[in-house]
Amino acid sequence: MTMPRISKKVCMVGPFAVGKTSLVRRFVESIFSDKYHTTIGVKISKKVIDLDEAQMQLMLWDIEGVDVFTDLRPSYLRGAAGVMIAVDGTRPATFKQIDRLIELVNQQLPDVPKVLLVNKFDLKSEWKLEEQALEEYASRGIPVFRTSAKTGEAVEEAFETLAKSIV
Amino acid sequence: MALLQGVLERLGVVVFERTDQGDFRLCSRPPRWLNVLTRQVGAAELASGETISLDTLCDVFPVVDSFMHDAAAVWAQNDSFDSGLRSGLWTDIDENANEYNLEARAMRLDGAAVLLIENLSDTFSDRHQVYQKARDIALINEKLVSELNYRQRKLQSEIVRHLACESTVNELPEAVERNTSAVLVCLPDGHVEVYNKALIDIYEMKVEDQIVRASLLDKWISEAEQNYPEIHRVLRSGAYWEGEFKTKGSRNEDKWIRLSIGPVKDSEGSIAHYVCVANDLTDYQRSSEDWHRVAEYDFNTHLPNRRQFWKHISSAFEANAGAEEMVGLLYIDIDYFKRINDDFGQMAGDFLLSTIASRISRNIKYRDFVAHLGGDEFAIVLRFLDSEEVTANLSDRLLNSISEPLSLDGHPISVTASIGCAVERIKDTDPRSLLRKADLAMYAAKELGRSQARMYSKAMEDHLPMRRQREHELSEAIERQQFVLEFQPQVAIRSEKGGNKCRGNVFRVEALIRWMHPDKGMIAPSGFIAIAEESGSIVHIGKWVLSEACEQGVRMMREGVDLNMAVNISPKQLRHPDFYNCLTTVLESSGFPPERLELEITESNFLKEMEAMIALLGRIRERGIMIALDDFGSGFSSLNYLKRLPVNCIKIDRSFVRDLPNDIESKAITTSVIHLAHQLDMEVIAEGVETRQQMDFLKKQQVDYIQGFYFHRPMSADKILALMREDS
Repeated sequence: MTMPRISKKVCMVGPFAVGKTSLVRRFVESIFSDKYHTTIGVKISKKVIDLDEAQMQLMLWDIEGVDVFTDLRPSYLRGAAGVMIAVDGTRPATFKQIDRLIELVNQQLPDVPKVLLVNKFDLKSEWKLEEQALEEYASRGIPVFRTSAKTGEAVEEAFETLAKSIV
Repeated sequence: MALLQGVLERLGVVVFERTDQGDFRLCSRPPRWLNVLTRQVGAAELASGETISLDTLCDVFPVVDSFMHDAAAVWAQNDSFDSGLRSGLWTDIDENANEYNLEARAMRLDGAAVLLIENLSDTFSDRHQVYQKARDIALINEKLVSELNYRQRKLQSEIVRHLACESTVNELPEAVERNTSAVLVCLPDGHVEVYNKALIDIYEMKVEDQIVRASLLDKWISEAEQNYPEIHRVLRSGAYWEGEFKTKGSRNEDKWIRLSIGPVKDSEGSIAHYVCVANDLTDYQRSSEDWHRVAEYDFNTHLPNRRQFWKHISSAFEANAGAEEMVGLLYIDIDYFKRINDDFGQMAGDFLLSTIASRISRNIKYRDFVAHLGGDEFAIVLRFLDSEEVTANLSDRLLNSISEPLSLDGHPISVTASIGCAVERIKDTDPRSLLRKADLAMYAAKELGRSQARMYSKAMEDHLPMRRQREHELSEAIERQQFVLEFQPQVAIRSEKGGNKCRGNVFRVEALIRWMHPDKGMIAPSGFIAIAEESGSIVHIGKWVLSEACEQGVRMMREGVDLNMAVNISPKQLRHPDFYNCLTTVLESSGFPPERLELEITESNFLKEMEAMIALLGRIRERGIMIALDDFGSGFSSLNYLKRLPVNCIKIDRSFVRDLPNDIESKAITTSVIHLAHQLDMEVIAEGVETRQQMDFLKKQQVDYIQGFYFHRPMSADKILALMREDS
């Protein structure tokens, strides 16, 4: 018997060059490239995952990084069932944007499940963040994952956690 | 027609018209890529003239689904919305891994609702290269700038700390001397006291005397003034300033420096030194053409910075020289931002700024221009204005939007802004003059109590010298005995306390300062306390109030009044290292019983150095002195710290009392505060009570004391004595 399939839109947002595209590629295609290839606009990929009683087709919107040229375009978020916020563990400037991104997301999607991905865990020795600050997000109901798109660490887990919370 | 179809196809544009049924009719010839993507979702290929349902269209182009809401707004308009509204670019990939870079555009043409899908793949590569390079550079610069800012601010604080401990400045600590950032310490008149080697390097001065003769402070101020017309005002007010500007080297060559100027005040609150820290940015500036672009944006708020602002406004003026066009400028300054930075830290301050930047951006139209000028200042340039009213409406929207609550380190807070507006015809002004006027209007908004917008008027030109005059007069007011105290009773209304007296017939009053100005008559605290706080003279004024209140208290007690005296203590006064000693001295010299003194402090004291504050208040309480938490609910109220504070009493802020008993929120907050305080064994005073209805409500909620015009206005000590006699 085939399992029922539901389709859900998930947005990946974050500052530029934190590895959003790499995280999506790691999850969808199990590929990683060290070369930084900037995203313009949004790139949409699909991946079907098996949950306990259903299959979920995730429409993954890999949205252009927030930077001096581009802010997060609210219309990209419309209709999303879940949001992944990615930052770079080695760049404190990217942590500063977490709260602002959460606020932007909440304005569009007040109750949508979110997860926070602190990427580049493979460079853990260069991380410059306070673990306590991350715990605060977790205590606010935003699960935190220390991911590495390079090694794949915690990537699947992060996507699956979000998918389950969407269901 | 065929020609047009061919052109559209060559340009990669597909044209749909929305039908009355909400479907989309394909008006152009379908290019190959359209049907590749259509087939991919299992839909039938499209031919020109055929319709496709909205659902299928959204399956083919998922971004259209998200875009439809905004597109519908464009189609609802009667006329064309300029060149239409764009969805933003997206990349689709077909089964053969071919990428298509697409963008949707909604517009209304000749009454028809039109949706264009544009294939931008041909030009995408060029665009991508530009963004790729710029972001590569931005990444490198982010690290450099972050490192530079950190070093410069750290150095600035180290020197200020050093100066605070040293009475004379003959030399700098060795670490500063060897620092790669240039350091100059000078007197307010520019006289050079000390400097380090890096300063000589920046200006390549061979003879050290040149530094002294160069009057660098004046030179910097005059160079910075080109981009920062408000620099004089900022420095005069004793505030920290930083910015980037072009400076002339020793051979008259152009250099870019990043300069910070921090004032150091003496024990009298006057500016004793300026500490200037500079870094040469010339090499960064020259490193790449693209850096210019990156350097024209603020890394934190992602808004154009001051450099870009000048470029934008100057080119608008140059291109329209002599035009009748009205241009408006809004100068926005966040109220008490420094307090937030001090209390929550710089990271929280940065977050606040980026949030506010985002709120400001959401309120402006697409053709308006918003910039982050630096610090807590933003500017908006409004073109093609019909009237000044437009700026007034925008200011109202901005004030509302900025003051929406947000969470800072888990604390719910709300900030306000002061906005200055200037509107002129291009032919009558220039960018610098327009900015100066908007800045002056913003300053007037601050003076009038903040959280408001003011339109520039000529009268404001006279106001700045007035403020300097006011600062000077304030500094002499104590000596000239121009301050007086009035006393406002705090009436007990809980039945067991009864009337003007409470607990064992003690009479409670709050001491309130008044300035008897020789020309202007009596000035209320709202007319001078803010200036005193900014200039630092609040510490001396506060000391005078404490001392005078205790002396008058002793006099009243000798006349038979058994009283409690409440005295306001400003945050600066409380944090002054000598506060405890000063308090002890005043009590000893006046003979006022400590257990009859109540210090009214505000909650903002506890967000910084909370443990030190609790320890200090503990020492004060050990002497028997009471402590009341003033203006409770008006600021960063947090119940978390309330239970830890050695506080006897809470004063409910008048802003809640004012709306009683009709406002539901004020009722809820007031009731909760009273009950909570009682559970924590604290008493509650409601201030600003003016009506019977307010009094009845508060009495029903069992508030302990009422202060306000309903019972008594502030009065002289003699009148207090008369009241006491009447009461007894």
